[in-house]
Parts: sequence; structure tokens; C-alpha cells
Amino acid sequence: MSGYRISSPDTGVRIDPTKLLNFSFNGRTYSGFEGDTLASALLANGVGVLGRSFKYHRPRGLFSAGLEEPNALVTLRQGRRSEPNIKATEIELYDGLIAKSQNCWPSPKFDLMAINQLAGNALSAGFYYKTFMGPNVFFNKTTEVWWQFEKIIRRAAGLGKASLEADPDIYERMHAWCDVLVVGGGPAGLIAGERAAEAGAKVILCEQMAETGGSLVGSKDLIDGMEGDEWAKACIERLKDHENVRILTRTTVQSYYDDNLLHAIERVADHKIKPDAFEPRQRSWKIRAKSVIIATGAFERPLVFSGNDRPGIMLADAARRYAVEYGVLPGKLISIFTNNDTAYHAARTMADCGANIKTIIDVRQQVSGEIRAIAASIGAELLVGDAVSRTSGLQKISAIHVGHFNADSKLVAPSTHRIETDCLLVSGGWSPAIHLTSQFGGTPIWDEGLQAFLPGKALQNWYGAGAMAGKFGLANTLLSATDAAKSALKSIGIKPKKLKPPIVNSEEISVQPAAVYEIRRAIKKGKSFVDLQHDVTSEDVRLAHREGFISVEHLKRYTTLGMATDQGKTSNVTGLAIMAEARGEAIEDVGTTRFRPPFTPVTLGAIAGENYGHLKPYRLSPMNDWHIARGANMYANGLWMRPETYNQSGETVEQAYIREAGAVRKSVGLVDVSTLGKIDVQGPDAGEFLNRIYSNGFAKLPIGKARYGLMLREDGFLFDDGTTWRLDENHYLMTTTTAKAGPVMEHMEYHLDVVWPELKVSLVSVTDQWAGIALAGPNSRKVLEACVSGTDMSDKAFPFMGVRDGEITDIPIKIARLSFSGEMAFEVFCGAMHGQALWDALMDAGKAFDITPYGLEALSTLRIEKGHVAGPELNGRTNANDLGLGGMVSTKKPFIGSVLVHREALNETGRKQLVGLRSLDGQKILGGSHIVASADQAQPGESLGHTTSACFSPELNCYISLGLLKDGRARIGEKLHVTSPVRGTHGAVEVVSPHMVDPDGRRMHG
Amino acid sequence: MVEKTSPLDKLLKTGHYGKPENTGEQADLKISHRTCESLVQVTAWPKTGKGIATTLEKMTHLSLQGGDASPANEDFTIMPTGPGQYLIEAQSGDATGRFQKKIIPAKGAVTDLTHARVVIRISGDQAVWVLAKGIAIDFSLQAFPVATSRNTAHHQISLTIHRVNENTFDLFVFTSLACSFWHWLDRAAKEVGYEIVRNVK
Amino acid sequence: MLIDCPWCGPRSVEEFSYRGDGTLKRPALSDNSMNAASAYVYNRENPAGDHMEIWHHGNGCRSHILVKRNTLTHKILSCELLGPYSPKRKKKK
Repeated sequence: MSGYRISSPDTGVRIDPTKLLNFSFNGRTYSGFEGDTLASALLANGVGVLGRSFKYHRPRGLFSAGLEEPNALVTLRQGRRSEPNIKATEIELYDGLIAKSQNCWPSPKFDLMAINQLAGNALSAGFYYKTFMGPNVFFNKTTEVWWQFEKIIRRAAGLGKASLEADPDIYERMHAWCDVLVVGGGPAGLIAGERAAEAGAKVILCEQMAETGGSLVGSKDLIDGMEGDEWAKACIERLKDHENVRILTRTTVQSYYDDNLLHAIERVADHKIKPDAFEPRQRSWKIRAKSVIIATGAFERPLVFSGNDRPGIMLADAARRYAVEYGVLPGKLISIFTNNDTAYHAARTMADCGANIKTIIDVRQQVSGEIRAIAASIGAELLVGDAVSRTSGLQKISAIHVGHFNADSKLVAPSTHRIETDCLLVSGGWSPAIHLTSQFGGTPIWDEGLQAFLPGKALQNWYGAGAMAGKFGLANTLLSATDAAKSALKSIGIKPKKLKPPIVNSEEISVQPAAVYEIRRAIKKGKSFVDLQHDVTSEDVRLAHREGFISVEHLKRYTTLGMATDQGKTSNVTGLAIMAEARGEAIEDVGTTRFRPPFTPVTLGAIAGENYGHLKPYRLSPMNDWHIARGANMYANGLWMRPETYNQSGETVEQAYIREAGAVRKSVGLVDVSTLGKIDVQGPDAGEFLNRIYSNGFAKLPIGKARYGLMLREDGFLFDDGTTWRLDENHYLMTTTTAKAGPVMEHMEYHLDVVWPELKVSLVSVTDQWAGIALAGPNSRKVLEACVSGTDMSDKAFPFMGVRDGEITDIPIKIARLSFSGEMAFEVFCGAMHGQALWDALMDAGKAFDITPYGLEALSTLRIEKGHVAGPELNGRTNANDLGLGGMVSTKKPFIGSVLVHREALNETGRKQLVGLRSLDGQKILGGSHIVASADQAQPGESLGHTTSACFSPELNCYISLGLLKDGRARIGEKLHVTSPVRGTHGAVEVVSPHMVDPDGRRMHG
Repeated sequence: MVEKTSPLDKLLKTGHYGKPENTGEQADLKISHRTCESLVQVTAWPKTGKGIATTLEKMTHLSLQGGDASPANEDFTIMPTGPGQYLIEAQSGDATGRFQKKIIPAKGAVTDLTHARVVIRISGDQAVWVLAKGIAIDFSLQAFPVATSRNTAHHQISLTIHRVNENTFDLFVFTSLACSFWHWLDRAAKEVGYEIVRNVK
Repeated sequence: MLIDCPWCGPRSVEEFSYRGDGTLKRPALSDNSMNAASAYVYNRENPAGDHMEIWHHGNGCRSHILVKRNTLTHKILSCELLGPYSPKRKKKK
């Protein structure tokens, strides 16, 4: 490229020539100005080759001035902040910026991987399905050969490399609500936003560049007597003054979801070397808009011809923007190739900035007098009815070859002119940026005049304005935008203000192109690129068609056209046109693929926001700090953090729980059960409701008593178990397992709202209200006798399953005499914020009895020894009878599940039943092992069931487990095996009753 | 009575955190926290609803206008949290008992939640900005007027928000989730800078 | 998706959980026919189009809402409060 900086007046309106910035590209230092993008600065420094293409490693240069850029992808920054595949056109230049090319080694100018080009057709579309196959012979099956090639291809594939270090930046999320969301801060967006704001609507305006203005930046067109540039600046100042307007610059609206939810990404700090302290790098906005005005403009597309990818070939309007906005011209000897009038506007503007435009080649058969006059006025030779047949140049374009174009055959004759040029500007038409409108469905509509897709029917409350809606030209744009604003306001019940339409003085240029997309030569030679980023050629498109991949969805996936980081913004329509021609159909019949969010690449950090590290909320018991200080292994039990064991120095987990469980059975221990689900059930129909929820009878539960209950699902399977205490006539406290607290609450609320709304029952979750401590062991009562006041703790006054109120050191408590462990035990509840004080008081009162804190492992061990079922047995596939709890299924009342619990299938023989298993060979039994008859580990045979909860039993001094075994109850006494092929274990066991310790329950009743 | 220990006691220490203090006009964000003297949920059923509402008005000297209106005075704040449901904060420690005495005979339900919530008060020009980072409701005055309350969620955790005035919000957070919630709020508020102050009503 | 909770107003779908078919009628407690119970538990129409379904506003007012939603377009057509305070029940009285 022979780009260079100019300083004519009225050029470089975005840059501040007094603020010099230094930056590094591929290790070399350059300078630019504040306001430059990396692209404009590189262009100004004459850097031509910016990288190498994806597949063929061809040298590539700057192609555009915006987010549609397919070529100039760089890796920005280094180390932890290194970010690949960023478009140089989107990078705001700052002092100290470091960037480098991708996909080339050692440099873009000299790339060893360019050897790929010699592979030629071996790398055409779908090559990985076709080329790298082996002969299907003997051992050499087709896919195995591919596996070898795959490794090499994967290493060579991809563009930039991501850093493997942790991202040090903060990302945030934000929610916003508005009446009108305006997407785009160009003329259409600005005037629509202003109209909405004037009417009193709450407006959010998103502009993806640092400054609003869009096509008005540097514009000399007149709006209400003011130059466009000035008008835009005044408009945004007026908008900023409105209280109800939020302007988000550097913000790209990425996605349009159901119910007018839009997602935008704000690049808060990407224009600085690094974010300020506590500043997020990017912010992800979820915006609920009552109405949306989409003013996203349009993308220029190129023409396709042989050698159309050489560095130095650029979109015409992009070159105009570089001249006007950044004060840079892309070459000293410029030529232009076009099929429409807009390229002439670009040419004239650039000539006014001092550009030397030598030749304009127009593929149309005729052009208007005005167009001829423009060419003449800038001193350019005009060749009408001709086309560029190919280009020349080694690392950059040096010449184009022009010949006569036959409009019928769409072929260009062998070239008659060889024109020297260091920069070829191309213009093939304009594609409205309709992406957001198509993301959730609306099928785009083909416009024959524009040769482009327009947005389809609006399936949500949005309105199009400006070029996005096919309204080109400043007057049209502003009119369509004020109409859109009016419609949007009316749709949400806000009266638009009666304002005069702005008076526009601008030259209206037709955007309608000739229906020419590709220039073909009679003799196929060279490569004509459609998708520059994925190196997809027009021959690839025709190849796909020949091989039967004729639908646009197949075209896309088979050739990868439109699948790169630019998502085909400058290539989709051209690709469709070529496929349509191959199919002999009109483009509108071929259609287009559905656009998918996001609109441009989004960094994962922005989507994650603050959700990294600990990904879920965590719930802590009131005694959490004490557990940690005591050295407990804390682990996550759902959202709760709970102590597994309290390891003393040198202990393994197993040694710890054996010690703790042993201490409980010997004297007394205490365990934190604050995490149990607790639900406050009140109301005149509370008792009746409980009777319908539980499978066993609850109607006659006396006040001051607790009862263990089973809940079934409506399909007859077990849902949960728990204990409900009757506190008063119409007042109950229900406890559930920790894991099922939420589901049980939802289950009950559903039945009260949907099934039996006539019942008067109040349900309030009180899990957080109560701290709970279980005191278990033969000395548990003695500990409480020592510290409880206000209630008689004797066996007679306080029988098994009784519930009492009392106090411990002035803390009001509730005590229930329940046992999970099978020992004499009590559950003591108090207000959660007294929990630690209660725990301290119990530890104190228990000193005399060597009280031992125990964790979940010991708790599990005790209940496994006792044969109490819990989560692993209540796995959703077992019923009451399977677990030996058939006696708890009442036949005297209807309840949830009472009909289907009697299904044949739930009562037939052969079902797996709860049993206990004792190891006969000293091997540890693993939960989730299969129970088998065979002693042969290699041939285990049929699975008869599985182990559910396993541990070492301190009481029985051997490894034990609970399990579900086919016809288990009939097999007590049998000798079987447990086997786990995945973990490589196989051991001998004896089937026993699940109630392995104190089966008569004397300890807890004593 | 034994003092209540809040899980936030050790996490919220007075001082300034995050972005350095503003020397300009913009006031810093102020955050404080408290436990409730009493917090009660009162439930009424359709037939008895009117009677319960009248009883509540008599007991609290507040007028219940219906909907999400959350009237407050020196002694009580009433926050409707659903059809026939009221979350009531009282400044005296015996309110639960008093409500039980009057409401239960009037055929309503009373549940003590005094220990079940921790209240974080956030106040300042930037309060809405910070809250909107994690809470997906419309905080504009039009959509969320002063002296109303909202039951919503944050990271799947239920949360009740009472708008005390234009810039001041009381967040009623589940006690067991308070530390986790604070972890998020601290990070979100550091962006603008905040000060932990002693709780002042 | 945005669900217009009759009590809380329009809220984002994250506040809700889906609770299934809204046309179900549980057989009466006195009905112990296996067929009726089985149909209630297992049979569903599963239409492609307008669908009556129940959403639980668990992270809001905890009401159950009967929602008419089109399963093809996701468009929500109506939201009605269920439970003791449902307007349907008021009409009955």
C-alpha cells in the first residue's frame, strides 16, 4: 500500500494533529494521532501487508474502515491481556499500543506457511472431507488416515492465538429499561432519538464508535442550514442535556431477543492502555425496550474478479472515510472499479482532499451525464462497459488489467488496457445491516432495485430508519427516521411532538447497482475471492453447487462462506448471487441464511460478567466461622457449605469420622443441622393439607409432638422424607432434607395455588430463621439437663418425638426429641442469629461429657449403621415398599400418590429392595458399585442391584453399605459380591438387614 | 435478651472502599446494615383479608393503600410481598407476639422472620446504578416509586427491596446468603466507591 | 422472555420456573381410578401453537400464573393469577 497522511483543510476531522501517539506493530514503532484507529495510522504509515489469509496465506491489506473488515485482524496487547482477532479498524489508537499480525510466520511480508498456496485445489471447499483421506485398504481405514492429517491441520487452522493466562480485567453486567432504544448514532439514529426525547420518552442511544455522527462526520451536506458534521454535534449535545436520555458510545448492540430484550456490549476501557482501578474493561447491557429504532446503516460490498484480494484493494467508501475522517489517502495513483453511482461521490470527495484518481472503470453499459461530468471534473479517465479482468503485483497491487465486459455472458474479454495503479477502490453495491431484525425470525425481503435484502416483517416492536431500511440519501434517511420515531412513540402511548421536518440540502446519489457481482474470464485463471477472511472463492461456491450443496444453509457450512469473525458482512450477498446464478434462479428464490447473535465477536469475559471463581451463590450456617476455626474440611452441599469432618492433626478423613461417630455412640456429639429445610405451615386447613401431602396419617398428630413423614410424588414414587412438628392447633413446623427444601416448598405451593386453592394454608420458608443443632449420644439428655431451663427434660415429661419450648442461657429454643443416628438424640433450634451463642453454650455444658463436634461424614456413618434412608436411597426410582417403609403408606386416606402407589409395576416381585451389606474380606465397599453373584471380577455377570451409601462402621468394626438389591428382603443371609468395573474393585459381602445397629431402637427410646 | 450476631458484622467495617473518594459534588455511596428488632410475615386469606388489613392498620397506625404501596413510620414498615402477604419490620423486639395475639384470632397467619433476614441499606446518587448491575427490575421512579417495595431476585436468590426515598433502598437479604450477596455488592459498588457507615434509620 | 405477573408486573423469565401444563385437573380425592390418576400424571397434548401453562414466580411474589404462550413464536398472550386470590375464584362467589 502506498498510504500517506494528508493535511488539507476539512480532512481528518476525527483526529487531533496536535496529539502525537506512539505505537508498535510487529515490533516496529510508528506514530499516529489521537482519533486514529490502528488501521488509519498503519495506512498513514504506508504499511500495506497487514497479515496473511486463513487458508492460502496470501498477503492481505486493509479493506474497509469499519467492523465489516475481513482482513486486518491483529492480536492486540501482550501477556494476560493479549486479545486475538481484533479488527485494526475497530481499535482506537492510544499511546503505547502494541499489536501484531496473525497467521503468518515469521512476518506478514515473508510467511513460510504461504507454501499452502502450492496446494491449490487440494484446499478447495470441503477439502477436509475430500482431500485428506486414505485408501480403504487392510488396516488403513479411511478415518484413521484423517486422524493423522487432522492434527496438522488443526495446528495450522485458526487465526490469532488466545492467551492461556487468566484475564486480569473486571467485566460487569448492567440492566436497563427504556421507552425507546435507538440502535445507531448516525443521522437517522440522532434525529429519531431527539424526536423521542422531545416527546418525553426515556431513550437509550447506542453508538458503536467513540463519537456519534456516523455518515455525517465530516459531511458538508446541509441540514437546516448547518453543515452535517456541525448539525450532528449540536444534536448530540441537545440529547445529552435531556434528563431521560442515556447515550452509550463505544457500545455495539449485539443481539435482539424475545420480548424486546436487546443485548449490547460497551467497550468501557479498550481505548486505554488498561482500565482504571476498579473500572470494568467491558460492560454487558441487557436492555428491555418498549420500542426499538434500528438505524444501523448499510455495508458496501465489493466486486469479485481474479486477484481481487491483493493488498491495495479497498472499498470505495472506506477510502473516502479515511480521507475525510482520518486525513489519510490510500495511494498516489488511484483507480476505481464500480457498478453503481456512489463510487463517484467517493471519488469526488477524495479528489477534493487532494487524491489523484486516474481511472474509473464502470461495468455498466451506460452512465448518466452527471456521472460523466463528475469523472471529468476530477480528471479521471472513464471507461464505461469495461471490467477489471485481473490484477498484478507481488506484495501489493501494481496494475490492473481491463477489458470489455459482456453484460449477457457476464464475461470480460481479454484485457485491452494495462493500467498502473497502487490502489484499486471497488464498489459493488450496498447491503443494509439488517442483522438484528432477522435474528429472531423475520425473513428478509429481496429488493431488486437495490440488489439487496431489506428487513422482513417486524415480529417485535421495532422500526427501521435510514439505510438499514433501504432509505438511502440524507433527505430520505432523516424522513424515515422521524417517521420511525413517530411510530415508535405512538406504539407505546406517547404523543409525538409536532415538529417540522428538517430541510436538507444534499446531493442525492443513486445507490442502485447493476446486477453484476462477479467478473468471469472465458479461461479460468487465478483466484476470485468472495469471502476474504475464510479464503472462499467463487469457484468454491460453484463447486458446492456441483456437489449438491445448493441450499444457502449448506453453501455456508460446506464452503465456510460467511462463517468467519466478520460473518460475511461484505461477502454474503455476493455468495448468494453466485449460487443463484449456478442454480439458474433469482436471488430472492435462493434466500439468505438466518442471522444469529452476536452481531460482532464478543469476549467471553463480558458475557460472564462477575460470574467467575465461585460460580454460584453460597449459603453459610450461623456457625460457619466456628467450623472453619476448628479445622473442619468444608465442602459444598448444594449451595450450602458444610463441615465434612473436623480433622485433628494427622488424621485422614476416614480416621476423623470414625473417631467422631464413635464418640457419639460412646458419649455425646453435636452436629450443625441448620441447613435442613424448614417450612412454617399455618392455617385452619394446615392439618388437612399435611394429611394430603404425607403418605402416613397426620390428622391426629397431637400438639407438642413431631412425626416422621413420607411424601410421595403423584406417580407413586418417593419424593422426600422429613419430620413435621405440631406447635399449636393450626401451626406446624415442617423439616425436609437439605437438598429437597426448595422442591418440597414448590410442590406444596403448587398444590395450594393450583390444585386446592380453597384450602386456607400459609407456607413460609423459615430455613434461614432457625439455627439447628442435633445433640446425639447416650449422654445427650444429660447435657441438656445441665443447661436447659423452662422445660422438664425427663423421659416421662419429654417422650420420644416430643416437642418442647425452653431456654438455654437466655436464648429461647425449641427442642424436638428426634433421632437420625439411632442414639438418644435431640434437635435444638433457636433463632439463627443466636446460633453461635447456642453452640457455645452446648459445647460448654457438654465439656463434662467429652462432647465431640461431628460433621457430615460421621452423621452419614451413624445413619447408615442405623439403616435410615436418605438422598441416595430416595433417588426418585424407589417407592416406600422398596425401602421397607410400606407400613407408612396409609390405606385409610387419599393423599398425593395414593392411587398410583398401588400400580402393579411398583408392587411386583423382582424389584430392588433396601438391604444392608457387610464386607466379608475387609475391602472398602464403594457407593455406586453393582451387586453381583459372581466371585470372578473379570466375569461379574448380571447386576442384581447397586450400593447406595457406604462407610466404615465403628460400631461393627467393618466396612458396610446400604444397597438396593433385587428381592433383597428375601436374600438376607446370602453371600454376594460388590463390583465396580470402572474403579477396578471387587469384594465379598453378606446381605443383612439394613438396620445394622440397635435394630429394636432401644437407644433412642431409652 | 441475647444479642443477635449478623453474618455481616465481621464483613462490613466502617471505612471507604473502592474508587477513591469523590472530592466533587457527587456524594459517595453509603452502605450500612442492620438486623431487625422484629420481622414478621402476616398472611391473610381472601375472606379474612379486609379484616386483617384493618387490624394491621390499627396496630401500626399506617394506612394500607393496596398494591405495592409500603407505608412506614417510626415504629413499623409494611411491605406487601404477594397477594394477601405482608412483610412487616417493627422497631420493637416483641412485635411478633403482639401480632400473633391480634392476627391469629382474626384468622390470619403470623410467621417470625426476625432472624431470617439481614437488611442492607444503600444510599446515594449511584445506588440505582450499582443495584441495576445485578437486579433485573426497572429502578426508575416511575416504575418503582418511593415507599413501595419489590420482591425480586439476584443471582437466583430471592430479595425484597424497599425504596425508602429516591436514592435509598433497604435490601432484605436471606441471612444464610448475606455473605454471598455482600461479595457481589462489594465488587459492584467498588466501581463507584462506597463508604460503610453505622446504621442510621 | 418477559412474563407479566399479575401482582408484580412484567418481570424477566429468570424470576420464574416452569410448572407444566395448565389444563390439568387433578382427579378428586375420592376418585381412586387408576386410569384417571394415570392420565393426570402422564397424558399431555403438547400443541404446536397456543399453550396454556403454569409458571411459578418463585423469585418474586411466589404466585402461580396461568400463562397462554405460543410454543412456536414464544409470544405470551395472557397471564392470569392462580391461587386463592385468582380473579376466577372471585367470580365464582
